[in-house]
Amino acid sequence: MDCKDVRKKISEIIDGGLYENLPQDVRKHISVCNECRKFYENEMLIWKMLDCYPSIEPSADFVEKVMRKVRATKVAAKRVFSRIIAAVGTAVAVIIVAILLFAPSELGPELSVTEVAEILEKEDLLANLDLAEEWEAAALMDLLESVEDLELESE
Amino acid sequence: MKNGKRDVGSLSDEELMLRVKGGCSASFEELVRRHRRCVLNIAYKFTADENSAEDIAQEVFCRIWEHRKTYTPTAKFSTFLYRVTTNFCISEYRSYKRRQEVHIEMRDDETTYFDLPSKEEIPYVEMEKTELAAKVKSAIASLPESQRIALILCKYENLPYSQIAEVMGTTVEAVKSLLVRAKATLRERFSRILKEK
Repeated sequence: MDCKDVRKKISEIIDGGLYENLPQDVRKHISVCNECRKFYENEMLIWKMLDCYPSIEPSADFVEKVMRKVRATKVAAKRVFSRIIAAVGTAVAVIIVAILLFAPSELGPELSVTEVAEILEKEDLLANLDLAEEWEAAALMDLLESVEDLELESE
Repeated sequence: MKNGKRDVGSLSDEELMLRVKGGCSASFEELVRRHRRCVLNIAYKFTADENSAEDIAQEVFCRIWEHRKTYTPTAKFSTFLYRVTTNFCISEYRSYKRRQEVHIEMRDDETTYFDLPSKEEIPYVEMEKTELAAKVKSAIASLPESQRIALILCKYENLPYSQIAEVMGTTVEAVKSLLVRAKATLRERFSRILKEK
């Protein structure tokens, strides 16, 4: 192993926190190579110095604060959802009214809103009226046919 | 309720996260309880500021809640957590730097939130108990973002190269290289102390 390989290996060993368990080949190399031995000692010292950085403890109400924020997020999400639903509902209503007002109508000329409303209210009545007319026509036809039959019999 | 809590406590992180994915806030609370210290200390080591670390750690957990549906059970929960934490630390740091550039004239009145030290000026040194701890703190804070993250995850979280690579979205070789460069910078910063030793 050359110095480059040894240093690479030393670096990896130290990163893994195993600086006191050097493999035999590295041990052998640093026993004869002053530069690599110095490198190893410095790397180990730096790694140990980093232990001086203190850790901190979370505040006593850390979990509570997080959960409060999460609950607030949930409420906000619900509000956004209901706003979206309301917006979609309004849009659908506007589209329906627009269709009724501006779509080409079979009823003749364009109608006002009140006229459309009146028509919608009377829709059932109109349908019944049409049906009644059909029934009357059918009854009349039956009557004519029966009169014709009588005439044929008398002849 | 007590039984429910005991049940939650016996579940693995991944099982809890799957429940969180389905909207279970009790499972989420348990995850916060388990990992708050780890997330807080990563943020602290990255920012070198205790107050901002607490804010960032809380915000990290809120993000995990918000993005719970993106969690896939194939990824270890800790990897997912480290990724969210480091990404959030970096984005906060960058936005702080942008604000710093915009409000450069107001700098004298600002607190030390993300006030990462230049090599010459270290504002929080006097707050530290020992001189060495302060030097370590400022040396880590002065490292470039990616080197700092790699070093924190390796040294303080004891993560293997492969997991650091996964968290940082890079290769094992790139992680090794980041650590070599980080240590070279630290060696330079600590050269006087090393000579004394």
